[in-house]
Amino acid sequence: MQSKEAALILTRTQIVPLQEMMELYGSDVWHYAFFLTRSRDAADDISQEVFLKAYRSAGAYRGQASFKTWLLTITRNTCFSWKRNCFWRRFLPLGSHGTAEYTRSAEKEALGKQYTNRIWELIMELPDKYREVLVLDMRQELSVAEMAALLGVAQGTVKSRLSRARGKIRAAIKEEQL
Amino acid sequence: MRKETHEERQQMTPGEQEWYFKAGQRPFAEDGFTPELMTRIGLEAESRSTGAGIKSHKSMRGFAVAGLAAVLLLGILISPLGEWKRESGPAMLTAIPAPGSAVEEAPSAQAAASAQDDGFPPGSAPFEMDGQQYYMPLPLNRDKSRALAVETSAGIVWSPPPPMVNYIKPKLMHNTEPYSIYLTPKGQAELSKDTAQRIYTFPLYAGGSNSYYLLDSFYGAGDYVVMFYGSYTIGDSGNYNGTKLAFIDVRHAAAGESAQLHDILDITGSFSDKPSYIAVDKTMGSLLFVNYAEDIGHPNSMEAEILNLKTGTKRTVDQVSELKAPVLNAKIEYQLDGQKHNAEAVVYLGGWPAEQLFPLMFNKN
Repeated sequence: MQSKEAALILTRTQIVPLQEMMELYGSDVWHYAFFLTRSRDAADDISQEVFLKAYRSAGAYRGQASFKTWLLTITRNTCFSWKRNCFWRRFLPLGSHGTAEYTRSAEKEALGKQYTNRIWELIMELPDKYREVLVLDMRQELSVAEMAALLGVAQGTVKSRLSRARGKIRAAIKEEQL
Repeated sequence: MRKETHEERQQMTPGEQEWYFKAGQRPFAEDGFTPELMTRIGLEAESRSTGAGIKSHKSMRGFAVAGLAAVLLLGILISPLGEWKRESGPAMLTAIPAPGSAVEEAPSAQAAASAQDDGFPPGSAPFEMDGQQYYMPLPLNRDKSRALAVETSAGIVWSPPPPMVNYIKPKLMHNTEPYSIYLTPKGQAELSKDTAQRIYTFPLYAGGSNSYYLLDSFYGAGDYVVMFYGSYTIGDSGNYNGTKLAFIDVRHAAAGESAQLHDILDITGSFSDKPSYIAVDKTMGSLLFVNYAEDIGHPNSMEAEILNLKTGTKRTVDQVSELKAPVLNAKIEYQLDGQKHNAEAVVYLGGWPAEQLFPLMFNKN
């Protein structure tokens, strides 16, 4: 925590070296991207894009939010762009089929084997809006206010989604007797 | 910083706190952000800073970097039906991020459901085109934000949202009737099936009982209506099966000829980080495809080609005005054979810079 806060202060005075930025926040960005896209390949690509964007634009960071929240915001929007561009990304001639979709489909099938426990499988099966708040809370440890700012919704909405997300996992755990 | 969440957690039962803590530790045996990935990003940053060109991501599936430019070189093909993919249910699929917003989907150019609907029957979808008010009467159970209408030289081309089922189960939600396209004379305010000419109907099913066709968006281009359509599969938590850009010659349809749906491009997923967009030249009945080979701010890096919908020919344009941000309905000026033409950007693709997508975050004032 100390080192991350130090980095946050650093960003207000100068650009954080890319390497340091990645060491501090690489895991956070990658996991958030993965939880939103459910794809390791996409998480890799999105992480790259996020850090390159952040590195290029860090001088413009104004410090209204924590540096981590700023990075997660870029991550989230890059993920949205990625999702949308699953079909928008590029123009391909008719008859051409990107392997990306098939790669992801195959990857999805293998997802269940990746997690350290069944609870994460259950979390990944939640609808996006519930999965996202749960991940931001558990993994990213953002406050409700930070989540609300990041998601662009009211704090009450965040609390409501968190409550419902927990309720769904609680019910699933009970049902599966985990 | 974590006050609110901690307070909430204190309200959790001990059993719940246990799984919450357990899951919060780590989802994977190994960290996904690997040293190899870090190295790759470092090399990419170095590559870009030295102007050494764009390296494809390791999973950019080969053709991604070529992108639009490759398509323009290969030529635009016209061929039969295909399919596309979706994100989460048959929702609006628009690629224009609203500046200042959190990159949520923005309304399409033709879904003018935000217009005033005073005086129209309840549930009507209102439109305003060329200063004229139009309305599409719809049953109350229809999503009027999905109503489409655009102006063409032959009249107003429109498509009502079909009825859907399973609203509360997004993965299972689907249309129960096919998407149809109608033509109504200009100036006739009511866009109703009773007084319109049906010019095209998509099949309901797209190759299986769980796959359905979806008409996503419309754009008027003189004598033509340009559209994005595709199919989706229910129960599939993934995406659309495929997306196609296509057009119909409305003038021929208005003359009573059988309407032909001409596919222009199959838009399929392949990651790329360079911006591109499609613009419509309504006067010329053409589509302008613009692709940035470099970052925004390098106008000489833009590659642009115009597709004449009437002849199917495509040509490289002499010049095209630089578009620095993905603005809704941005006006584009391009030059062909020494003549200046105007187009309107309707679809943005690829990776636009973060500062374009989130101007408020980068606002220095």
